[in-house]
Amino acid sequence: MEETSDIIKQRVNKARKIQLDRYKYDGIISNSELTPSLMEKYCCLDDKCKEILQKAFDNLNLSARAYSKILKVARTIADIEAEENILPKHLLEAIQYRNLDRKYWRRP
Amino acid sequence: MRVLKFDDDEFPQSLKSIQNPPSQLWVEGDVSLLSQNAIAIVGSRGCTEYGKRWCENFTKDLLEYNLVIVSGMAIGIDTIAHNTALKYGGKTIAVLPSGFDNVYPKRNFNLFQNIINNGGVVVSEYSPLEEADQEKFLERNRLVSGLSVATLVIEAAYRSGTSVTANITKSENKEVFCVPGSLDNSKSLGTNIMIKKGAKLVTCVDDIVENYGFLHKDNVLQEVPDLILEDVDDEYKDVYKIISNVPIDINQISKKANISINEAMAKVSMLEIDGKIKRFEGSKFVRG
Repeated sequence: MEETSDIIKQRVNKARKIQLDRYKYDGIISNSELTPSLMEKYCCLDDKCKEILQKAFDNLNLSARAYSKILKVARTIADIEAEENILPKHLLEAIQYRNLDRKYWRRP
Repeated sequence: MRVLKFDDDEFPQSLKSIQNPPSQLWVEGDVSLLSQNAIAIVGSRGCTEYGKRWCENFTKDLLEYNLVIVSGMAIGIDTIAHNTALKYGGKTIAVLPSGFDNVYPKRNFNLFQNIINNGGVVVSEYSPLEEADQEKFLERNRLVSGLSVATLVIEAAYRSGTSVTANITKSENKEVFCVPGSLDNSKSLGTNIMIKKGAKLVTCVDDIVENYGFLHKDNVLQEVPDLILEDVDDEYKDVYKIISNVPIDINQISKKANISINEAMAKVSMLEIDGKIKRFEGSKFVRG
């Protein structure tokens, strides 16, 4: 089903609101600002997620920098779906996004 | 599954003449393959991309000469050889290091079934309940070699199980062919040493078939569609089936599988992490 821009806007605003509420006392307003220690607090991964991430690092040649990028994006996808925790599907989707921007960063 | 006794007509002639032949064989699948012209393709369990690629190339080319591909169903080169044979509608024989009720390795149970269901045959000299162990790996290798006119080694570490198979082949006065490799690659050390000791270095299939006048290139290969060759979790099979050797992007995948883009992305991610598929620039996917 096609979504209208208006519905998408509502969804994004809701995810923003979730982040504003969550980071009320942390001095930040969005997932992009997460520091490593805050990430530990708000991007908890269950064993299944940890296993996926480990495998991804072993097999996909990910850089260390990619780790926090993937987690932040996964956190955001979870927020858009109003999920309290990052689930495997969020993490897996985030891994695809990281791959997507790699080609634009590569030198021609 | 049934048993072939040494004295049965169907018991392969080739195995009767090896040192220490088995007294009986458990078999499932097309038993007639056991008496056809066959070649062993063996190599490292932890093979490299290079090994994978040349295993596929040589296997495919050998199938055109109607050769049956024999291997040990181990992870790595063995699996690639069997899979490539199945993929192109060729015939393949897997020799187990265990009984039929304890298929080894477990990870290859899917391959085990594919071989039987796609015109191949699986054999074992062990009664169904026996489990694989170190000794059986080596015993199995003599059958792999025994069923074949020659052995092609793709990659092998120094003093590996693969070297054992090659030595058996040599002791039976059959040819050992080796794919050469880089000195930097430990998985080519075994093959390079074998070449040094007299195995034939091969760069193409002609180097093998020219030694056997009775072989003719008369088999036209056709890819078998929709054959799921690897262990793919049921959860990801719908997406895996759609991805072929022709690059496809995420939009097409989601449309064909009739799932959302998010779901398609999560699934291709898992398949990519597991090495089942690969992604190109521009986010197109192909089989790994």
